[in-house]
Amino acid sequence: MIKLDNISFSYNDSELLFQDLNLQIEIGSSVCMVGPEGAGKSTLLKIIKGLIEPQAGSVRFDCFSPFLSHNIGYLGGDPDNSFVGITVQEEIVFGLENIGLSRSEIQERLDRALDLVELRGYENRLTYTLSGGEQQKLALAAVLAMDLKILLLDDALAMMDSLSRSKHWTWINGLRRRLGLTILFTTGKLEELNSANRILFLEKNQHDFVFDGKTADFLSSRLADDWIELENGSEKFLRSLGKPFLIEKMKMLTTY
Amino acid sequence: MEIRVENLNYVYSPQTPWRHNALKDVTFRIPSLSVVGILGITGSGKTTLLKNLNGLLEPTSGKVFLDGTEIKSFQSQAPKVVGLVFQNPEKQLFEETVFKDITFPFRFGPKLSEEEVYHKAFLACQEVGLDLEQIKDKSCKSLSEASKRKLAIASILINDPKVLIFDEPLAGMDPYSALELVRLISNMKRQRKRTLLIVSHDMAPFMSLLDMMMVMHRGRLRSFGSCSDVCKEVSSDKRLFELLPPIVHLKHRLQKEGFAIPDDECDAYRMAKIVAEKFNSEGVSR
Repeated sequence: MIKLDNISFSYNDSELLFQDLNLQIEIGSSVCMVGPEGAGKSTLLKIIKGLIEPQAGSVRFDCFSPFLSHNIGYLGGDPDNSFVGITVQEEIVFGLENIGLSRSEIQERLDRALDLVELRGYENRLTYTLSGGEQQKLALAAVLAMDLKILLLDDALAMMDSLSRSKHWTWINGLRRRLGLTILFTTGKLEELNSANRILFLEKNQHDFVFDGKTADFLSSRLADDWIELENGSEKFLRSLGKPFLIEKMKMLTTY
Repeated sequence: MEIRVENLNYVYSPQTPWRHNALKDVTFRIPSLSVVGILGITGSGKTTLLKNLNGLLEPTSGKVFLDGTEIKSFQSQAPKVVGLVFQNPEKQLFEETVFKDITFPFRFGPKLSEEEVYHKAFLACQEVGLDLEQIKDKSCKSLSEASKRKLAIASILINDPKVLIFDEPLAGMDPYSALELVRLISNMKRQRKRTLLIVSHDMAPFMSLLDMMMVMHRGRLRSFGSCSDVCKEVSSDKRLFELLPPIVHLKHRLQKEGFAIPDDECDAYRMAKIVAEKFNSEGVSR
């Protein structure tokens, strides 16, 4: 269990973003945080990663021992800011060298990472010449090459095309099942909610989660209205059918 | 403003081991005041194309014409005519206050009176739904993410560009702010003042606004034309078909099942209505 106990945090002393917030996340689960901007989703991810320190409260990872900071991978939405390597290969190898792996181990992990995100052949490309989506793939590859136990994704696949995105989710979910990886993420895409087995809705100036439950329950709640309207896809289609027997009939057509 | 591109090629880092041919023989014509959606797999050359359209990059070969004039002849002024809203444009905000940021271009351009500058800033803010009077002395950083993005757009609109290009306008936004931005772009279409180009991996929210669609693949223009023509054309290529928003996939499935969904329909609500009506007319119920 990852435990956040009585977290209080504010960026400026006047307004508290969180007050006595509690959260427990099971190992191996996939949790998606949703809610309007400014509610504190990214802040909470950064607190878990240890990038910022809460004014009060604690974050504990009792289940892992020893627990090292590179066991948590954190990816923001704008990878360009975090690159340290000049080329694709340097970027992936940087972290691996820092944790003191052998040359052969580094090569093996580099190969695996490149294949996983389909950047084989890009080893010597300069990172700044990559497209937004390719940069996000690279950032993900670099993080996944480390000994991950927890993966925090802050809308980290937003610049990929839909096919790349769904492919990446397929293997992220695969890693979760195989390695027991725990995933906590935020997203702007409705279909990515299906990768979560738990949804948390964080509202502005509320100090607890407004919703904490299953994806299907979230989608049928009013909280999802704007999102479904924006997505203009199968959820909106099914909702607009109105009659339950029609919805059941049409569900087959809208699943892929 | 009409955009015409002829045999456009662009190569990054030519004559080095990192040479990368990002655009290959791209040719098309976008009529004035159209709204065009540009789709393509990650790394297909979309952003490179946009940068060539607004003079940020100079074609390796080929030509770009704006209303018949080659962009080369006014390269340095091109960004004012073709406004480009980058991915995460709020990163470009750098001044202390909103007013200073939005009026930045006038510090170096032709001298205008204070009233004129204020009026231009006011109009630009109005177009994106911001109240200049209320926020002009605030720090850019204090604004919400949606407002920051709107401000970044306003700071481009202040030049009154004839073409406005959005590169992934919704990336990184929560759905509630994203919906606001979609409405903003929809208003811009209604005003019919500019040619609008939208690059997005997620075209679903924009489908009903588009006059034309363009699909890029490996640096080449794979398909270009009306939305229904483009959707039909790329439907034979599985990887490209996947790029089209789910609503187009749904439409194809419904059409296959015999529902009379028009080719140019792209709203989930109206499709549901057609389906429900068919069941009603057949008297199917439970």
